[in-house]
Formats: sequence, C-alpha cells, structure tokens
Amino acid sequence: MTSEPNRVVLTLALLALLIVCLGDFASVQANRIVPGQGLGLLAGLGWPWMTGIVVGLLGLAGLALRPTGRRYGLMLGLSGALLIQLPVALAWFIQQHISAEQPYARVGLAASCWSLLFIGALLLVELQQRVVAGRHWVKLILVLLFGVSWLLIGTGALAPLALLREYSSRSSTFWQLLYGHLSLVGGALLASLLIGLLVAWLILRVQPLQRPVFALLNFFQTIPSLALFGLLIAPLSYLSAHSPLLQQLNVRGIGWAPALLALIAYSLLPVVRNTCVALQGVAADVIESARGMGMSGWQVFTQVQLPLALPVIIEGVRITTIQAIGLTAVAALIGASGFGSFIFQGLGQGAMDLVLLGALPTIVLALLADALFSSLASWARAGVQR
Amino acid sequence: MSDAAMIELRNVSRQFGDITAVDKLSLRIEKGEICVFIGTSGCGKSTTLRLLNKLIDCSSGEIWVDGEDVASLDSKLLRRRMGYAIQSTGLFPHWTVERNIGVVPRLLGWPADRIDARVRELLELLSLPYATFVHKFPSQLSGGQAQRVGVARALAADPDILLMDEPFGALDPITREALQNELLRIQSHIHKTIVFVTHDIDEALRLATRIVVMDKGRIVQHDTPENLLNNPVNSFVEDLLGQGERGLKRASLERVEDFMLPLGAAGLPSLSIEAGSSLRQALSLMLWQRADLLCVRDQAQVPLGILPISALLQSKSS
Repeated sequence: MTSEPNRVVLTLALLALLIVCLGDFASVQANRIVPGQGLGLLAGLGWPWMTGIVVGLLGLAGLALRPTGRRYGLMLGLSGALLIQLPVALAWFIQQHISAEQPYARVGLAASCWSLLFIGALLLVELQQRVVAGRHWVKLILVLLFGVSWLLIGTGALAPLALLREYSSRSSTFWQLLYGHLSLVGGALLASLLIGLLVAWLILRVQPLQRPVFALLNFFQTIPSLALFGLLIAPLSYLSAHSPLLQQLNVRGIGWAPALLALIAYSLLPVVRNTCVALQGVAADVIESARGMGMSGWQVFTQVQLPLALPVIIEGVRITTIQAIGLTAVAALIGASGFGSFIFQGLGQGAMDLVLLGALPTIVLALLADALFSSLASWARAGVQR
Repeated sequence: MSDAAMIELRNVSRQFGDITAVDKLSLRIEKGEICVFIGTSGCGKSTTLRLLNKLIDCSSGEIWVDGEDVASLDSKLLRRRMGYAIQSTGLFPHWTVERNIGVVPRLLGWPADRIDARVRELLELLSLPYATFVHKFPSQLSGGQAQRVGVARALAADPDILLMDEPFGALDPITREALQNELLRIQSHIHKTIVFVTHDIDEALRLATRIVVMDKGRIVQHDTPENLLNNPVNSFVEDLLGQGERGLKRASLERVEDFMLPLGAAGLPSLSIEAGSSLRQALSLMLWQRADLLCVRDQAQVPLGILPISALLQSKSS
C-alpha cells in the first residue's frame, strides 16, 4: 500500500529536530538574581539521551514519509514517548547539574524543552484522528505524562525547577490568588447571567429597546479593558468616600469593586446576544404547535423554548467565562486579586518564571472552562439535533 | 341527527387592525363530519381554524364546541381536547417520536404505561413500525413520516375534534395521496369530527363530507362535494373548481358500482375494473385501451356487472 507522506508530522518532526539540535534544553542559575547558563541536549543530558531523542524524531520523520495504519500507531507511540520522557529528562538534568549543597540554584526550561512539549502536543492532535481509538490512546499518554510529572514533583526530583522554586516560596499566595481569581470570575459570571437573562427577556418583550441596549453593550465591549478599569476608579472612590456602608464592604476606587463592575459590563454582551439569538431562533411553528397542544406559557418556555435555546446560551456563557478569566488577570493592575499579580510582579522584577507562575494557571483555567462549557453545550445539544 | 352541532360558529368576526380576516361567519359542523375549508391565501380559512382552539380570540361572535361556549373555557384545557396538526408538523425537534406523540397525554397527567400503550397503538394505526420509529428524532424522519407522527400526536389523547391546517401541503403528490387515503381509512374507524384547511381543491373533494368555500373572510358556499361540483353558486367557486376539469373532478367522486349494468348473456369483456374504482379511473382505462366496455369485478375478481361507455353519461343510477 503506497500512500502520500504525512506532511504535518514530517514538518513537525524536522522542526523539532532543528530546534533540539540548535537550541538550549534548559538553563542553570546559581540563584534567582544571576543570569542563567543555557545547556544544549548534549551538554545537558549527555549523548545517550540525546541520541534517543534524535533517533525518535528521525524515526517519526521516516515513518511519516510512507504512513500506513500500523505506522501511524508507531508514530503515536513515539510522540507519546517523546512527551513522557520530558519530565524524566528534566529530573536527570537536575541530578547532573544541581547538587544538594545549592539550595538556591534553579533550572529554567529553555527553547528545545518548550518546543518538544508544544510540538509533542501538536503531534498528538494530528495523530489522534489517524489512529483507531486515537482519542483513548492520547488520553492514556496525557495521564502518563501528568502521572510521571506528579510523581517526580512529589519525590522532590524536580524541586529545583525555577517555576517550582517560585511556587514553593509563594505557595500560600498562589492559592489566595487562585481563590481571588475564581471568585471574581464566578461573581461576574453569576451577576451577568442574572442581569443578562433579565435584559434578554426584557428586550425580547419590548422590541424597540433592542437597538439601544445592544448599542450600549457593544460600546462597553469596544472600550479597552484597562481604560474601563481606569474610568471606574474615580466614581467609585467618590462614592466610597461618601458612603460608610460602601467603605464597610471594602468598596474603593481600586480593588475588587471596579474589577467586578468592568467584568460584568464586558460579560453582558455575549450573554444577552446569545440568549436573544437562541430564543428568537426557536421556530415559530414549533412554539405555535406547543401552544396548540395546550401547553401553558410557562410550559412552552421551559419544555420547548429553553431546551432548544440552551446550547447557544451555554455557548454565550462559555465565551463570557473565558473572556472574564483573561480580563481578571489584567485587573491585577488596579489591585484586584488574581494570577495577574504574579504576572505583573514578575514583569517588574524581570523574573520570567514568576510571570509563568501567573500565566500558566490562567491558561489552564481558561482551557478548563472551555472544556467544561463545551461539553455542557454538547450535552444540551445531544437531544436537539441528531 | 342530533340538534346540537359538534362545532357551531355564530356571527364570528376577527379583525387584525383594519383588516377583517373573518367576517360574521356562521357555520355548523356536525359530529363525525370532515369539514374542509378551502379558499385562496388570506381568505381567512386558517384564522377560522385557530379561532376554534383559541390560538386567536374572536373579535365578536360566539363559538360553541360540544355544547359549550369556548369563551367560558380555559384555552389550555380546550386545546388538550382538540387534536392539532399543521403543515410544517411543528414536531418538537429535541424530543423523540415517542415523547412528541405523548405530549398531550402527559399534559393531561396520564400514567406512563397508558401513554406507552397509546403510542404503540397510534404508531401502528399510522403504519409506522414501533421499534423502528419510537426512539427517532424528527430530523431523522422523511416528510411523510414526520407528518404521520404529527397526525398521531394530534390523535394521542383521543380528542373528539381534530383540527388540521394544510397538514399535507408540503408533501410530494404521491406521499400526499397516500396520507389522504390513510386519513380516510383512519376516519372510517374513529369517526372524529375533523376540520381541515387546504388550498388544494382535489384534496378537498377527496376528503370532505362538506366543503366550506371562503373568500375575503366570508363563506361563499357550504355544501357537499357533489353539490359543489354540480351547482357552484358563482364564478368564484367555478374558478376554484377549474372550469375545464369539472367533469373529471366529478367523475373521480363517483364509483363504478353505482353506474354498472347487470351482467348480460353475452361473454365477459376482456378488460376489468374494480367496483370501488372511480368513474374517472374507468374512463381513463377506456381511453387508454381504446375500449368501450369494461367488466366490473369485486376485490376477489368475481364479475359483478359490465360498464359500457354510455353508462358513464347516465345520471347516478341509485
């Protein structure tokens, strides 16, 4: 069986090979202040390990030239192995280059380590569609990757990683920020859902309101987030200064209050728009026949309109949540609690690992929210369209 | 015939702004009838139908259903007593066939096993195999199947009255005819009072016991199909019937057995036709075969009589 070469896998494998050979794998710093020294594969891991990685990538490229069903299986296996060996390689690197007498020494990930991680992930995405039960194999690989990483972190073998060093010196702050981030997003989500559904209901009843309401919500969306945060400082400071109640609630020109207000303002448009579109999209004849069957107005809404509109409404909530997670990071600038604090502190101190400690969890939160609401939407859609 | 009509409209009008959709309509529909409303678009026939189940309220006048003034009835409860089927089926896309058919029984609070038994019964009645269809969603059905489910849903709670708003209007001619026959077959078992809206005169002539011709919100003629064909009251009805085809339309309502002559001593003609066929079919066969004499047989192929072409020209023998 002859077949076309798989250009995606081929390109990715060769690209990874190039970066692995030219770029540094990881860097060693004696402490947080001094500049790190980058080490390539050979210097960092030694030639047997390097040979393994290079042969693996060459094997991938070779298999991709003449792919068959079996060879796709092999490629997926190789990609998985390349990913799973990464934490082990890092532990090996640390053992080679950091001794126990250096409590401040740290290891930063460098270009080839990052690119192996990302290219590995892209390879999984590509190969998942081409292998029988690919989704399950990919899940297995991810579970192994996380399991191995977790195990190595647990034993302390990866403790000198710069990211973990930053975490261990700030672990309590980390969880506080996670809580702050989640409560801001959750609060904004809840409030915008309540207000948004109410507004949607209102403008569906009173059609002439539709234009001005959407104009206003669109206007909020066009204001840059930082500008909106800034605009809210002055009026809130004024209100707070003149109201003891607001002071007791810790409402001030900076902090959680302006952040929450701005987040709600941004969240309303997707919620209101998707709810309106979804409810208007329910076919008129379906509603007519529901009434003709003798359903009450409430039954028509809960049994027919809402279930049919739900997937699109959830889609709006998904967009809102992801947007709010990102905006909350920015809200750190006006003193709201969230992972943005780490990012801006890190930027100020020139400590990229601290920036990562803020950025990575933000990304993970956004991805988790995306996965959660996507599966909710597809669950809601399951009965609607087959 | 009992004095109380199943449905009675007394001087019913309905305005939409300046437009009068239904204008002082008075009409009796007896129990067991198939009353077909026909007219051009905008003549008020669909509006009249929706007045009956209060999807639209009357501007003036009274509607009595089964001896009760509908104005005094709760519209939800009234609608649950009337089956309702529409052109686009209006099936709920997020529910299976089973749940769609069971919607009114569920609203009425029937126990689950009774609903299930009813769904089985109705699917069988509508010639849809239970196991194949019960768990399908509307998007998985063909147009004809979806409309059968729509009719089954309308029949679910065994209502006395069935309202049908151009239910077969969107179907291809073959499926439409199959469903028309199905409806007549079902009606011969269940004897509902059916109010049916269409713009297709052939459908009206085929299904109706009585036809209501409407124009500009008023009744132009209310009559049996035969009388409508034989005595159209004005040119509007004549146009609706289609001037050039009236003979054929009437022939399609008349049955061969009513026109056949007794078997003679002479041998049987070689061409045969079933006693229940229409004169139109007999004429078509004669024209096609260039024959002037047919043998009339029953379903078991037993000869009953003969049909010479001259018999077609007689008025009804019975």
